Amino acid sequence: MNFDAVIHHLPFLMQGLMITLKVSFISIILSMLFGTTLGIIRFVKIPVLSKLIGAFIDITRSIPLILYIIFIHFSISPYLYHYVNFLRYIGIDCLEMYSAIIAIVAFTSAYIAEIIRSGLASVEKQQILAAKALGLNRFQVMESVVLPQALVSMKPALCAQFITLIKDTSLASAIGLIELTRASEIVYETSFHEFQILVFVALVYMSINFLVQKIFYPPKGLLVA
Amino acid sequence: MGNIDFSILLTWYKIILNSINILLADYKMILNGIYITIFVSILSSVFAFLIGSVFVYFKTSPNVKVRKFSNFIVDCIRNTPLLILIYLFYKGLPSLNIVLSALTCGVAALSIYTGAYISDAILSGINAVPDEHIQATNALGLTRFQSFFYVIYPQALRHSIFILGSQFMNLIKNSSLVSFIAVTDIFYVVYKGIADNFRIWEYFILAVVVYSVLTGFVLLVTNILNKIYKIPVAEVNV
Repeated sequence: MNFDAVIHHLPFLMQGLMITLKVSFISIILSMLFGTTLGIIRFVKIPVLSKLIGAFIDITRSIPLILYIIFIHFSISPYLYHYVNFLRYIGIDCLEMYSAIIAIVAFTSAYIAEIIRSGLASVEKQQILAAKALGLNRFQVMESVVLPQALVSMKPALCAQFITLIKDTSLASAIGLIELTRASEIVYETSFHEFQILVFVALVYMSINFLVQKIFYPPKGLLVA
Repeated sequence: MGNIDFSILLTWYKIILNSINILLADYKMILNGIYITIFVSILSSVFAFLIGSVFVYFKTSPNVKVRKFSNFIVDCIRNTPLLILIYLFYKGLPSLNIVLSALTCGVAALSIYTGAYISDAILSGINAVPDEHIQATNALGLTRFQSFFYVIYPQALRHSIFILGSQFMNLIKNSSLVSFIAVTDIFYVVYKGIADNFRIWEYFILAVVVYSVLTGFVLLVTNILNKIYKIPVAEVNV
């Protein structure tokens, strides 16, 4: 078995890898932002808003991501892309990437919101009472007492979610975004070295995800506190 | 007042009727798709459960090398996208002269992928089994397989009902990916309706209903099993 095909097509595959990394990076940051907001709103129980967000989260968690990507690509994102393209300023200038990012962010935010909510619920009640007794307001209690403690307990779940997100970017190939999976498809459809190229792509995804694992769980020597 | 225009209501009524007619015209494909989704899900959950149990047997092995190697294998499977696994089976294996049908490839990839997750779910249950039970099996002279199969494993399952249930729900959702290799499951039908006929809302709502009902059913079963089999947490009195 020779891997000449992989080496020959390496530049094209690397272009695909760059797009995968770009989509993953932007999606992780945006979904962390939205997910934390949704999770906190669901945790503090604002009358109508919390119920609405709960419904959104429950529906999103019960359907597959690929359905979400297809739906958003064909229904919402063509309009959004023309009228309120807020992602244009960070260099997203193709419709496929735009829909992929919106779908992945909306989908992952629902999962992250649940993680954040359960993390917040795991913080002891006395901590909140003590913070209130010290005269902190509601926002300060959340931001400087509850969230830092909750973040520690939800680190493993967040890590797993980010790895899932990076894997899920491969589904954007369904709407024709040329990321790593679609790039490999294009390559093996012309060169007929399916097995080699797919094994190589699997190894690339694996190494990215092992790297993310290592960042979240550093080797024991490096661990501080 | 007086002359309220009801024609807008009539328009909505017509639109809804039209949508229902469009779905009804396609009912054979839709029913077949639902059947295939359920078939793939049930078949792969059985295999995934078996594969996960085998993985967890090796992950709790007393031999450090075996433990590390099986951990590494499970991590590798967990860190690869399911789509790539499915493509490896369907498009990669034929170049090694192994040709499988699309359905077999989909079920195999789904089972291996979910099996890795299920092994971790059961492992979390094993961590909840008290050490005294394992020591007791050693004292009674049971072999490693006997102590695993008769004492540790059943308790671990009872501790991890909810995590297992969520993995089976993930499996039902992930089973939509077999449509990428032309298995005509419900997502395949929905994708055809959305991309070819541009009937976006009708088919999207159909898919949401189907997947919600399927995952909701698993959730119901999980709750019932949890009520029957859950090991009550012993309260510590000091």
